Amino acid sequence: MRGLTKEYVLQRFLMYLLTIWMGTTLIFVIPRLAPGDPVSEMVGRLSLDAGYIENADKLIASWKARFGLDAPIHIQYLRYWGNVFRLNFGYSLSHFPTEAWSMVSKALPWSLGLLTVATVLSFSIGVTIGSLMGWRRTPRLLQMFLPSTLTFTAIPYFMFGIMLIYLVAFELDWLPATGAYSRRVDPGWNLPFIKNVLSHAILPVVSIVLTSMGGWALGMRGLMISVNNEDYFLLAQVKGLSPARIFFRYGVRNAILPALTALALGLGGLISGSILVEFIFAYPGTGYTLYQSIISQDYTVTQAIANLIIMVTATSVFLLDLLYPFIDPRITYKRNMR
Amino acid sequence: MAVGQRTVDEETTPARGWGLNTWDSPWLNFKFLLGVAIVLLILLFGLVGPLFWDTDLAYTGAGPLNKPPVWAEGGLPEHPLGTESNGRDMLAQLILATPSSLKVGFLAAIIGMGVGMVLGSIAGYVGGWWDHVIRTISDSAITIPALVVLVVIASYVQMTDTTAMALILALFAWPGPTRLVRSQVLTLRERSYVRMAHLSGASALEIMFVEMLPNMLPWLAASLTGGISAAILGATGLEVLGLGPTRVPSLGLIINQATTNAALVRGLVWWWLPPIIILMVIFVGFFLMTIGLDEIANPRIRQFSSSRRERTAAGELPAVGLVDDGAGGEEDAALKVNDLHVHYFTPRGEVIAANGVNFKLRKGEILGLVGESGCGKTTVAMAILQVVQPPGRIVQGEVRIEDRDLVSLSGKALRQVRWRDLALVPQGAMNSLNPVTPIREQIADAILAHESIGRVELEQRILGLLNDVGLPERVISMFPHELSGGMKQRVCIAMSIALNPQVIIADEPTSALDVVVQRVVAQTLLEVKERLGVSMVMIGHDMGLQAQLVDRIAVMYAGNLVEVAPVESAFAEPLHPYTQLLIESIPSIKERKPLNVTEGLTHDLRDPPPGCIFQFRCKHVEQICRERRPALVERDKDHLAACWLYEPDRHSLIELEEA
Amino acid sequence: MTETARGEPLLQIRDATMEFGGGFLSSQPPLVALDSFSLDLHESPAQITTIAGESGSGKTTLANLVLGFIAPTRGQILYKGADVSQLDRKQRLTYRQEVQAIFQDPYEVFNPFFRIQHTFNLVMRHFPLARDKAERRELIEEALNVVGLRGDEILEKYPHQLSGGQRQRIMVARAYLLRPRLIVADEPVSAVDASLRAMILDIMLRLRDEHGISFLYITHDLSTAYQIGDNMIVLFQGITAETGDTGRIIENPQHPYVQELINSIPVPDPKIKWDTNIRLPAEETMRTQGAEGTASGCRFYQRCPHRMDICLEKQPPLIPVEGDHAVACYLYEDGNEE
Ligand SMILES: Nc1ncnc2c1ncn2[C@@H]1O[C@H](COP(=O)(O)OP(=O)(O)OP(=O)(O)O)[C@@H](O)[C@H]1O
Ligand code: SF4
Ligand code: SF4
Ligand SMILES: [Mg+2]
Repeated sequence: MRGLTKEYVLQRFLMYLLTIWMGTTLIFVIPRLAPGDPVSEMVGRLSLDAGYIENADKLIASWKARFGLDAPIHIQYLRYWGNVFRLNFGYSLSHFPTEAWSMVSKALPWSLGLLTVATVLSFSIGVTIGSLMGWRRTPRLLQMFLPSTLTFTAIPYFMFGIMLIYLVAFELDWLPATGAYSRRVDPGWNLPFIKNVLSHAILPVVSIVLTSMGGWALGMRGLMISVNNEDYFLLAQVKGLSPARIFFRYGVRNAILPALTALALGLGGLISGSILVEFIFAYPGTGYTLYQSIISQDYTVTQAIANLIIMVTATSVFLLDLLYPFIDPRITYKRNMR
Repeated sequence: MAVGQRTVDEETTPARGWGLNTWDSPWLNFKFLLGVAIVLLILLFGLVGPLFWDTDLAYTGAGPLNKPPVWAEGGLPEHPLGTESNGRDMLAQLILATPSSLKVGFLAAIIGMGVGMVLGSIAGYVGGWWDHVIRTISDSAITIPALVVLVVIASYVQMTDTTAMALILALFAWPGPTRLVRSQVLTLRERSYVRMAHLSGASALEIMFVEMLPNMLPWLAASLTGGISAAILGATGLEVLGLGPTRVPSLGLIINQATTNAALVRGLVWWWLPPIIILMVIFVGFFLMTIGLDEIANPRIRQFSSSRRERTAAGELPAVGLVDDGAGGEEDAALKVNDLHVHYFTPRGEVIAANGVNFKLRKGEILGLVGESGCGKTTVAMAILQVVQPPGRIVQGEVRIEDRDLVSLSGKALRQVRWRDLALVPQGAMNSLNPVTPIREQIADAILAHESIGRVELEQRILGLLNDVGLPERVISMFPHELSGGMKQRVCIAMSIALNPQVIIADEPTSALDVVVQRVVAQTLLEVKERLGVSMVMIGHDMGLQAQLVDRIAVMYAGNLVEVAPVESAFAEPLHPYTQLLIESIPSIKERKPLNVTEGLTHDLRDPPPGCIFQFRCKHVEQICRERRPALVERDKDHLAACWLYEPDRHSLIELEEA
Repeated sequence: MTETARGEPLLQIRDATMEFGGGFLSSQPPLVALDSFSLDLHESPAQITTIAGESGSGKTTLANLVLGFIAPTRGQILYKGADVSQLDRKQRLTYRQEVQAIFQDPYEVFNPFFRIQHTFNLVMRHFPLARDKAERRELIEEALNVVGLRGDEILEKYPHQLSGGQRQRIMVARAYLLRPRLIVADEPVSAVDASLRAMILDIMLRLRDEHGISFLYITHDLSTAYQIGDNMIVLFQGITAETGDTGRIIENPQHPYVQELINSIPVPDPKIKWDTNIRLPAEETMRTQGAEGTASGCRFYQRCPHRMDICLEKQPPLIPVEGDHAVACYLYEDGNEE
């Protein structure tokens, strides 16, 4: 039994649905469980900012009707699910005729691009560093140098981002500080634009990669050390294989499997962190749009984005899960979960 | 786990006996303690600060605007860290903000840990449906991007204080601990001591808290410190976005106000940098604690880091003269081991696992190497193959095949000898095959490392090898987990003969197998040996099996060979008292005999006694045995023993010395 | 020795069946670890009853059932006539006290966190064995003396400071402290060296003879069973293949499987070499529980040199051959006797 089995796919799919259900339901339920209701809170906050709002009660009532918040909670919940399924979240409040969904879909490519590049880089660099750190035959010099690459591991992405902005963008003026591209270039498939986009992406990507790769590296190091002690690793040496072959086919090939599991599990955290990075760099991705929508009390866009991020994350995890049995021939055998 | 596979770190590393000797305690981990110190310092700053500084200055309008710290130009002594655009004193803000950030982290993580412990223990202990449900939910929950949900929640729910925030953060703090506790409970549940406690009438709660909890402590602690920093990160994230409590100062809020007031562009470094520095120090502190705890929980990681450092020279060793074991002329020895010393340099002393081992393996014979667990059999095998695992090292000796001394070879030269001349059938065949590659590739690896042949020929050769050991052809594309134990072991045998080596070392090749399979595998091994005329060292502790398989037998005790003899004479008239004991205590299905009760290994391998190594257990011990070590010499035809009993002049030997 | 002569059995297992697996999302049928197993164990004279079998034959499942760690899927386990799964509080305590165990691994039976003392305290705390501290101490001392140890030597030590032999003996002392009627010894000597093995077996014999304690000796090693066992049950894939007097079975096995098993034991005498003409089973046929032909019929069918058509129809019942000696094989049905 190799590859995918029905049982496995079914199980993963159930978990996929469960993840989405839990995430979206949390978003729905918690605000309604909290004392006060969302609309009054929002209006309250509005009045906090504006000092005073006329006819606050009327405003609250009309907003409630508009969002269907006056219906009984289970009806609201069903409606909400209908919307989630149809990806229909209504109109944006702050940019009125625009649909919430279209705003979201504009932001999505930026985030996907940024995150994919950052994740792939940080994971592959981290895994490489970790594998070398956990291997007895790594040259001494390299062994001594490698730990220094972990310097920024403990620091949250966004703080590192602030420092980078200050040092690289303001003090040194090497790279642009914020945004995804400058206003002076024409968006499109032309070289200046692409260059411009890349130069804007460097700092956010660097701040994510430098701070997150250490985590992968440390995990991989531990896994490599365990593999180092495995009988098959020893037998590979006794077989007289070249160090490179042992390292890749016997060491990394085995150690990377749990690391991939960790990647699937850590994806949510990574995406959470990137929201802050986008905020700091004013990078027009989903995270930044989410922030904007909250600041401008754009209720529909907030819902749309939050749901979207949850779904995209769950989908990526699901895809990784589906990939896994092809990499680890044992997985459908062991029948265990992540 | 059979004793045959016991790894040593279980016995010699302190990981198991916690509070025993304070200076040996694994909790004295530098990283962990440093982390603790850092976090305590930060905490102290927040707790003691209000006693020395007026924290009212943290509120709007308390001072002049945008003043830099005191050391910079324009700084004021009454605002040592400066003020920001609302005239708030930075020092006062930081003093108030620091403990509140820590508090959120601790609170959320502790709640998460508590929930995790309850759910995890239920899942692990009760099992069944409960386990399924809890596991599925926590595994799904852990992938939800927490901050997104938090941001949305926070945008509706005005969080007034840190407790509310901690509660909401705790929503995402439980799946990690749940997974951890569950897996820990699952492993610990099977431990004999837990089952013992059950039989002693202990309740489930007692078992959980008294028996299991202490043993998962380092893991729980690591998860807790990890959880705290995750929660602080989440809280700070919300605050930075301006979604946290706005009335109480917090580090994230300061950053939020700084960034929204363009502090970066305006060069108000003292506004945004200090909270970031404090946060970084906090994160570094918890990070150090987490990785320190990781090392505490996984002795292997600790051992790995220390074994790389440890390259001390071995002390002076008594030169033991080469002894001719009577193997006859040089030509017919396939392998010679001369005066082999292997030491393990453990934190608790040097374990002398092979102490001057000498033997010759004749061409075409099977030499059995027997002895009780821990006497150094595997160590000798690994030393022959030049793969002694750290902290072990060959400190002296030679291993000769033809005219090459393997101990002095390294790199490419060593790789060429391996497998081509010297192959291994490993002790734990269960784990000796790479789990993720098909059998084809693993055998091909061994062949291709030494020869270059075409694909078709390679395939043919592998099929031929499998056929030689009686395995069907389809095994070639199977994975190890698809094979039974006996089949795996036969794959290992097929692999060992792939290059037609001169010598095969077989380390307990059948010890993990059932008797019927054991017999199948043992006969496969014999057939292969007969056909190829290969010489073999067969390690084992089952005397019955040895009697069936080997030509000569070498008996090892506490790192020393004590007897080497043809198997018939070793069984018929064993010379060394230890061999006698071994032979007498073999249980047999041919005759019922009274049990022969004695103590096991009685001295510590770190501290072998002067004189005979067996003196504490020997019935015939004499004065000379306590003073001088007997050499392994031929006492009968082709029969060597290391025992003074067979030295007629032994009495005069001492007298001579005394004179 | 008939049942009436000895009164009610101490332990009675009636048609116990234990299945694992199956269930939620599982496509595999449940694994039958123990199939309609029955056993009567009498209090006096105390006996050592061996349960022998290869790995996966159901030995440990049986131990767990008797110790009450798991409940049978079907069937009953009676202790002194009462169903173990329906004991009241008081009966339960007695059962716990009187049915004890010693386990395989001398390195794992003590919690590394506590001193040896803890093991004894635990027992003392839960069972009304002694009135005061002095009496406790006395009882512990006495139990230790039975296995040849002294309290002041070991009670204050941590497990890793003791030798394997000491640990194993302490474990026996702990069981003895409770004055059990039955000790389940699950592979107590398979992980220890020859010298230790003899010591443990010797203690078992002494407890039987001097203290009237019965043993359920669970092992894969027939030669030690031969040295100390009174009765024996040989399991094959969850089924009783042969049962009767230990000496009789080992000297003259009747079931084809038991014959194969005994023939495979290496004789510790270089002069009696293995008979190389004996036909050994191909390994692929060895682990196919539920494979074609064996689902309903004799489980040994695939490997059996004497198989007949009738063997495919249904699992052979236990057929008495002589006195207590019974064999689950159609060869011994009247008229089939060879
Ligand atoms: N990595 C290690 N670190 C410290 N000590 C070790 C290590 N490996 C082995 N030793 C010690 O060396 C001695 C010999 O161990 P070895 O594994 O060679 O024994 P063995 O005869 O093969 O035992 P077994 O029958 O259990 O396989 C033991 O006392 C063991 O504690
Ligand atoms: S040398 Fe002495 S102590 Fe050692 S085995 Fe011989 S008689 Fe016993
Ligand atoms: S019942 Fe038939 S198949 Fe089973 S062991 Fe007896 S003869 Fe063989
Ligand atoms: Mg060994």
